[in-house]
Amino acid sequence: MKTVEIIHLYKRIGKREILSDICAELESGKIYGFFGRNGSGKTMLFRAVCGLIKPTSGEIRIHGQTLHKDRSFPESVGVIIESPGFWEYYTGFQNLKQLASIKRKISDQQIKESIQRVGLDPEDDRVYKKYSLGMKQRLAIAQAIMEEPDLLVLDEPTNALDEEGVELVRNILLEEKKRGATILIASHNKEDIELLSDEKFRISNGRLEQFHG
Amino acid sequence: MQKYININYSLLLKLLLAGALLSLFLGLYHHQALGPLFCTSLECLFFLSYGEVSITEIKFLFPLLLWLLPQVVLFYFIGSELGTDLERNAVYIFTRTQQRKEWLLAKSLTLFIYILVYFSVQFLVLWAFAAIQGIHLVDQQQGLVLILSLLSLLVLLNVMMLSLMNFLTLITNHITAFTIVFTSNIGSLFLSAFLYESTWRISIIQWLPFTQGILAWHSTIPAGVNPLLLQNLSLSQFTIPFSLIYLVVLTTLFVIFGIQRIEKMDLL
Repeated sequence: MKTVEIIHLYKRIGKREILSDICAELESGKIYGFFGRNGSGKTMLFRAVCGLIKPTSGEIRIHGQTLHKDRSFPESVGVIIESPGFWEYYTGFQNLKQLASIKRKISDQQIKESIQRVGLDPEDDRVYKKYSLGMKQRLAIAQAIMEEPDLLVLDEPTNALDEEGVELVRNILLEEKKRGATILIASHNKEDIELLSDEKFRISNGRLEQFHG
Repeated sequence: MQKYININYSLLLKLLLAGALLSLFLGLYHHQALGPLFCTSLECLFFLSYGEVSITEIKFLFPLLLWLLPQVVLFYFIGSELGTDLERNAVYIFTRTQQRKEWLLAKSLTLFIYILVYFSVQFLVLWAFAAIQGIHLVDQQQGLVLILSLLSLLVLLNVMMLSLMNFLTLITNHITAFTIVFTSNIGSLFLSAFLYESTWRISIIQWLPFTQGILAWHSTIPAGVNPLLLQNLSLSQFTIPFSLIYLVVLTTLFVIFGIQRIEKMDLL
C-alpha cells in the first residue's frame, strides 16, 4: 500500500534550488535508505515529507492526503531530524510525557516501555542535560517510535551510538517494519543502508535517483 | 495551550537571584540620595530606583545605564527563549500538532510569567530592604497605587520589548534581534533627550514605544514623591493609563505578527 507519494517536488530557498523534481512512491512495511553527501538535500527532503517546509512546487501525499492542502503534516509520523533536541531540565521520561501530551494517544506505561525498548531506564532521575550523546540519541529514537507511527522519518538514527546501540536500533527498525511502518532513513553509515534498506536512493544536488548497488 | 507552557525552573531561579541582587544594588545606590533630595519615603525610593531617568542627564550615560540594567539582565536570560525553543523542539512538536498559534501564545505567556516574577521579586526585596532601613510609605493607599503603577509599566514595557526581540528571532538571528531592540531602545531615549533640550516637538516623546515605562516622564504626579524630582515635560496626555493601553496594544500587534510569521514559516 502506498504511504508516501512525492510528485515533482521542488524547493527553492532564495535563488538556490535545494530539491529538484523529486518523484518517489514509498510503500508501507518497507525501509527506504537515502544517502548522499552533506548538503545534498537529504534533510530538506525529510523535512518536506514531515510537513515542516512548504514545497515551492509539486506535492507530497501521505495516505492520499496532500500536505499543506488537506493537512499540514502527516497524521502519524515519528521523526528524528538532525541533532535531537529536548527540554534540558526534564528527565527522559518527563520529556517524552510532555511530547505525548500533545496527541494524548499513549499512556505513561507505553512511554516507559518505549524508553526501555531503546535500552534506557524510565526511572532514571537524571535530567536530559546530564545525558551522554548516545543516551540522547536513544531517547530520540524512543520519541520517534513511542506512538507507533505509520511513517518513520529518521535522519542519521545511529549517530553517536556504540556498537550495541547500533545493533539495538537496527533491530527496532526491523520490528517497526514488521509492524507495517514505512521507514525512511538517511545515514552516513553505509552498513545501515545496506543491511536495512529494501530500496536505496541517492540524493545529489537536490536530485533523487534510485540506486541499485 | 496549557500543554505548551513549560516553566524552566532553573532559569526562573536565576532570574529570581539576579533580580534580588539587582534590587539590592539599586536600593543601596538610591538610598544614599534620599536625604540630600529631601525625600525619605518608600514612594521616593521606588520612584528613584525604577521610575526615574533624568531626561537632562541621559547624555551623561550613567542614569541611562541604571535604567537599562534590569532590562539587559532580562535580555540576556530570555531574549532568545522563543527562537531557541523553536530550534530545539519544533521538529518534535510540529509533527504532532498543527497548533503553531497556540504554541506561540503559550510561549508569550511564559515570557510574561518570567518577567512578572522577575520584577515582583525586585519590588519585594526593595520593600524588605527599605523596611530594614526604617523607610515607610507616607500614604498607604497612594503609595501602593504608585508602586503598582511602576510594576505594571515596567512589566508591560519589558513584555513588549522581549516579545519584539523574541518574534524577531523568527525572521533573523538572535544577535541581530537583540541589536535591533537594544539600539531602538537607547536611540529613542536619546531622541527624547534631544527633543526635550531643543524644545522641538516634545509631544513626540509620548508616542515613542520605549519611553512608556518611565514613570517620571508621565503627567501624573505620584503622592509621596517630592515634586522637585519630577521632570517638567508638560505632556498633559502622557498618563499612566495611556502608556498601559499603548503597551498592551503594541504587544498585541507583535503577537499577531509572530502568529502570522510562525503559521507560514518553514521550520528549517
